Amino acid sequence: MIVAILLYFVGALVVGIVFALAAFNSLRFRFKGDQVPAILAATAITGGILLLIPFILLPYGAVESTPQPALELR
Amino acid sequence: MLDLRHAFTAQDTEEAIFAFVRPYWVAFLPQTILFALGIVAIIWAQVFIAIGGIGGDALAQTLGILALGFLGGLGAAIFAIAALDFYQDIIIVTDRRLVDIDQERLFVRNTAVLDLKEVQDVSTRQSGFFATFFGYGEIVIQTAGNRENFLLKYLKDFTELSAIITSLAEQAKADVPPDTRTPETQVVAIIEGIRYTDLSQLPRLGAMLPDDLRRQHRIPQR
Repeated sequence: MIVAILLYFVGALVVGIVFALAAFNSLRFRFKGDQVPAILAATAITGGILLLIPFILLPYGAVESTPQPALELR
Repeated sequence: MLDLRHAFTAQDTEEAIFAFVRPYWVAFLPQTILFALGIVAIIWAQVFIAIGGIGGDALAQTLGILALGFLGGLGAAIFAIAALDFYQDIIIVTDRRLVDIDQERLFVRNTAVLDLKEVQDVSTRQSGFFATFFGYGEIVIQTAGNRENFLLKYLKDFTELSAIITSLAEQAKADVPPDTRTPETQVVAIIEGIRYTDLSQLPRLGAMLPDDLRRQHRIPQR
């Protein structure tokens, strides 16, 4: 489980690097006053939300599938 | 507002811009709709897995949700590159040349410059359901000599733009001085999707020097 989450962070880092490259290249060649920053911001926020969604859903799935041992009263 | 006084590297100080055009955003709608549907499908699949819709143990569910999350993030990055690739294709028509800036993915940016004297023929084409329905098309410019033809795609005001190019090219071939060339068309300029019918609006946009106004309304000599 931990390995999977670590791998996910590596994947998220790769996505972040792709966004950074896109931002670097686009902002370098943009015209002053164009919509490039808005496009970058909108897509980066969407990507960020999509990468965060698993962390909202994960605990529920994990807890549901891992039954806890019943408490025994002695 | 755009900085049209420094639109491209080789621009002369007195060079007036009559067109600064990007592809029509409607032509990018299919990709946008596909991306939006992809997001909905990914979120739906993640929730379905999380509530135990496909069964399996916690590890399998975790892997499924994480894989879909990564797919969504990667999809957003690819969409960003595609959107910028589309948005950063620019056509600039000045009183002396046509500049076609073509962004290809992240690291390729082609800039082709065509002297208006080299324009042989300008034709327009509108094909396909989307193009006909939403009213956009393309311009094909045949060039003199061995140069490749120019294909300008996804243009909203393609008929007006082709008229501007034709008019300016005719004046260039007739050796009209560049600083007096004016499109002899109803629409004299198209800047960022807005059509202008009067030259007096261009200095305000930076597309023309304030004291230019085609040398104070001097009629081009042909």
